[in-house]
Amino acid sequence: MSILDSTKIGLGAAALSVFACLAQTPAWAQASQPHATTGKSATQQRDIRQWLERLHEAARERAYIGTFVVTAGDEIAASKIWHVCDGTQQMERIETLTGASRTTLRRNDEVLTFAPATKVAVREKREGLRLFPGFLNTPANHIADHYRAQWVGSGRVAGFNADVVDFIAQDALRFGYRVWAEQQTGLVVKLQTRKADGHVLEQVAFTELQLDAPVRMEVLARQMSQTDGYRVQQVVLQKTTPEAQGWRMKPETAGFQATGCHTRIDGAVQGGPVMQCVFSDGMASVSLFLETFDPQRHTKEQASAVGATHSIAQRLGDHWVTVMGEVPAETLRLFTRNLERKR
Amino acid sequence: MVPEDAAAQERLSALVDGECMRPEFDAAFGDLAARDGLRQAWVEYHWIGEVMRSGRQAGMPADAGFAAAVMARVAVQDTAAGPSGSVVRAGHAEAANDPVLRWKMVAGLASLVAVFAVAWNVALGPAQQGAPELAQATQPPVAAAEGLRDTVVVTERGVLIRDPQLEALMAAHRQVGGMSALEMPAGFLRNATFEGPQR
Repeated sequence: MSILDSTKIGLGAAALSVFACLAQTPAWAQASQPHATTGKSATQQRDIRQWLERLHEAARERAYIGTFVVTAGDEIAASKIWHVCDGTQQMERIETLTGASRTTLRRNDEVLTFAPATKVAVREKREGLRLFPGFLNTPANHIADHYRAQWVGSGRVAGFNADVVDFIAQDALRFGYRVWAEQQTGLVVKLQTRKADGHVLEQVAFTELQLDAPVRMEVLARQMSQTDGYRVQQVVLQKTTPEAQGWRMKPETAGFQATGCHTRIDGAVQGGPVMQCVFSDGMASVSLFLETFDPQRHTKEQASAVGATHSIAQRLGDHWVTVMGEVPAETLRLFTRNLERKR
Repeated sequence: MVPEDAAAQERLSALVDGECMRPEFDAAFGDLAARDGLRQAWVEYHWIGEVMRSGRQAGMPADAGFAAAVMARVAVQDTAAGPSGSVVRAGHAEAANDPVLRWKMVAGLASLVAVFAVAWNVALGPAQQGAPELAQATQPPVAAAEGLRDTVVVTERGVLIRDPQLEALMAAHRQVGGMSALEMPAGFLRNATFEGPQR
């Protein structure tokens, strides 16, 4: 990776009004926005919480169009993204450029995914997106217990100069991250999930980015309401608890705190109901799935990894447990050890 | 910029305009992988787009060797997963873009250029980015636990997990997981872009 000295950049005429949405930025967030004359030392001295505040506000307060590329293992996927904010609402359109054709539209926590091949549109709520503005009250609040931030230089991504910051894991139970944050806005333009030795497991990056692009929210809203010709499926997540399902589970494993459990009703997962519990250390997340053992489907215990996402699946008495997340396999095993059937 | 024949030129034009149909999209990929003249045109379009976007002079961004390496890699990617005859929009902003934007006409090709640039950066890992990253980025997924069976299969199409049940759970994880302070909303963009191994 090329780490260049930080230099002041001209972003071009199209990006000159990049702060158009800043009028709605909360005071606490504005305080964390660097002034144009902020020196390198101030940037270097930001702690992990200050970096997170900056990254969050950048994503929340910008309109942009970009090309987004994900590389995980040998897989490469790309999409075109339109993002817009009006201070109170965020909307996005994500259209895949590789693989199966798919269009995802999002209004805050409401997500609608169109699959032209099957003429199916899936509508769902993503609670995690609703958490976004209040992330300081989420497990992110404990991030400093598990990660520390270190400014390592500057680089250039999609034509923009970016600060390069390492989020270094404090133990071997989680991966580290290298973040490229656009210097003027703080927008994350590139992100790598890395092992402690620096090996890159997964990367997401904008390869083309138009900040302050003329994305019109009303157009996206209209597209989101146009489901003619599609069969609309509703994904319903029913909240539950491990105890209610007959399980005893530690509320925290390896610094990962439970953020919620639910059963899922959408037909995507075959067989009987599956309980999914989600844990987070503020950076990575782990899902623990529990279901009744089915000898027809659960024929092999297994471990696998795709990019940064590892998973293990194994039998536990009359049940089948699958744990997966963007963490090392050893961390996943801790979750299975902390699991006990009550009845 | 002189494309090598009229058909290839037409496909290149369709790519730029975001009007490329799926078969043409695949053919255009093949053209770009095989023909130096088209790769040069591709680089020049990118350069033109950069100049038009920024309104200032910019250096030519890439050399032919770079393009050849990227396109050779992209050419082996399976692009046939989408429905036959479906329109592949290569960066054309269907409704959200202001129609008078001058950079719009080259946005499609510039997007593809940029995609390949990052793919190349990660997959091929230029020496200046450090050998460790190169090694890891091209490594296939690995078995993660002793005593458990690994279902990851490495094929010429990439890494496949041949377990629909596991894939369904992975999709569920990506939908409600990823509540990362760092990756949100980048995590959402990531998950909407990447559904996992191609089947």
